[in-house]
Amino acid sequence: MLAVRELTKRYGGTTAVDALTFDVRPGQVTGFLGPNGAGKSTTIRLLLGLDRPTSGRALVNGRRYTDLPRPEREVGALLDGGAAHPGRSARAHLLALARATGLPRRRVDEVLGTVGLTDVAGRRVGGFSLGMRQRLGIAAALLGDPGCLVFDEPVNGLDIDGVRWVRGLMRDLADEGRTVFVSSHLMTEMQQVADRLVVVGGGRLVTEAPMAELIEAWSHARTVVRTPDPGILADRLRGRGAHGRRVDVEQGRDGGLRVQGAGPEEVGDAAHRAGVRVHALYREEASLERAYLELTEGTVRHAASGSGAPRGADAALARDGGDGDARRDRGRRAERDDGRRADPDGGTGGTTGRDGHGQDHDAVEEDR
Amino acid sequence: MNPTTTTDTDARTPTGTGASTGSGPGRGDGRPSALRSLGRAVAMEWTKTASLRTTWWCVGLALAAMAVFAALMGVTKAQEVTDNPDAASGVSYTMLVSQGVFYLVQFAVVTLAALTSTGEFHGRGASSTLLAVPRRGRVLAARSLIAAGFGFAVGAATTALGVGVLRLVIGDLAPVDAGGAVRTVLASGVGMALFAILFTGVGTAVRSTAGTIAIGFLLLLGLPMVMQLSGLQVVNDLSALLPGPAGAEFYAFGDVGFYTAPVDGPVNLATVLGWTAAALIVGAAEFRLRDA
Repeated sequence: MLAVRELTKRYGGTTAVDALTFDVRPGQVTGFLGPNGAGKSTTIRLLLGLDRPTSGRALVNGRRYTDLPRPEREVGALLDGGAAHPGRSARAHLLALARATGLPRRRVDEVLGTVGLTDVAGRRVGGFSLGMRQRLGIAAALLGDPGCLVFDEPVNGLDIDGVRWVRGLMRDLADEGRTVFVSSHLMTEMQQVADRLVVVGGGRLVTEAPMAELIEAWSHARTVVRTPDPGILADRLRGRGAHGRRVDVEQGRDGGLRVQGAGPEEVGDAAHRAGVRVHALYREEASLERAYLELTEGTVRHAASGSGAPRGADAALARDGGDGDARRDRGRRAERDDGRRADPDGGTGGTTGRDGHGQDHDAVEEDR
Repeated sequence: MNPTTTTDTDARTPTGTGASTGSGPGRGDGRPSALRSLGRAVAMEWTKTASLRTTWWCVGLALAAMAVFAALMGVTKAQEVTDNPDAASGVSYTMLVSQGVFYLVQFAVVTLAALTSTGEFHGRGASSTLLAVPRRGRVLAARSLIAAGFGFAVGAATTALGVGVLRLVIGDLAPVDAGGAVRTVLASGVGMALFAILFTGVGTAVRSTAGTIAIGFLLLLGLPMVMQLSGLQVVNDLSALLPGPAGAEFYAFGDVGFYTAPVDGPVNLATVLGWTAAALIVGAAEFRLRDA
């Protein structure tokens, strides 16, 4: 059981982790998802007592890592590569760790077997491939047979076989009742293994929910319609559903309307009845990957910098609201979007074009 | 490699209790005593240090350097004695080997201490150590003990080797005083052990191998030499407060063969101890406060 409470870590002016609060429970694989630079690794290092939090707490089974009497029995961790000295053999690396915690030598051979490194145990780590080093890191994590495992980007550098092996391993560990916490920046990877997701962006919690719930909420089909008269069509579509379904219309940033609750046939018919010209009409499947990108897009710190490109609706919105948090809070953003569209002129506000998410974000940053 | 291996080995706990799935209360309790924990940390540091080739390269280089130095000095002294038989009484084994320690061996010890104390700070290698031993004071204590052990062994072994080589070359002309030799061997060991701890502290504070070796060179040789070059007697005398000259005075029992300090005796050992304690305190504070 891992518990993070109001955890904050600042480096000078940058806030890497910002008042993060979440729990990781036993018996499941909990995914820790966020773009690069979202604060995942920092959070894990704080959890393991390697870095000191600016404020807040990160607890393992109710205690700080550094206060655990036998930490190796409670948590095992795989951190981003290079943890083993290149001049040392894999066996010597594990043996040193085993001696530190009073584990018998045979346990080293056991974990070497578990990760499939027995044959190369005597070779120096410097000659290992990235995948072999990941396996060695996993062996070190398993050494104390801990009830809780933390993996930071475990599939990095692994081939397909390795990736499948890691997935199976995490599944087995969770099924044995252990707490498994695994970070990744890839939604597709999380879809494969996680029972529950903690999504972060910009050091903040974006959402925390069971995987099934997120799949339910995030993956749905929408109908996209492009028309020179979006206002008229949106008014016609809104509120009317064929089978009592509620129809939601969202003004896209590219001028298109994104319609939920009505298929292309219904939308096309509605446009025909309204006498509105249609330039494009298609079904769009929103994947989890896409939902995740949308959730975290505003939080990306290192987005490619814009060069005074046209500012999209989001930038204008953030400016209007005068609240940078809007970019982190999708729910609130959607609400405001609706509010804006209620304004007669608002309907065309989103047609200025948009070159990329990162640019919009930068525009927001400049405005702040 | 067989990537399909499952975790069946993990179902067995190392202690064989089979209680592998719990993370609940009771599990992991039974904190080992502080002494036992320190012993384990020392075992870890020993395994890490001994499993690196560079460690043994440093030891080997120190021995080779001393052997060559002693042979060279032996031949020189033999020439002097042959030219002037009265010079035989002036040959001091202690002085000759302590110069070998001062000019050569101590830098191997500094390098060894620098490597063991900073090696893990490149590429965040300290993570795995600190996960196994989260108490940083304990890690530093263990590291210092291992460094001291290596320092003592290298100091004593090289000095003994130096005496042996000298005896081979000039033993017939100037006999060895066995008591003096043993004293010198032990004092060199103690001196090098203290230097090893000193630069473990420095290395832990600066976290850079090159930086630690540079500081070692300055404190032990560069700075005192420059201070002795100055015409001011005060500055010259102050150089005796640096660990290099004070250490040399200590392990050569005042018979260094070049000017170091206006004082002899235990004060020099106290000076080295002071530097060692200061470096350890700074290193411990840095280690404790700074993120790994």
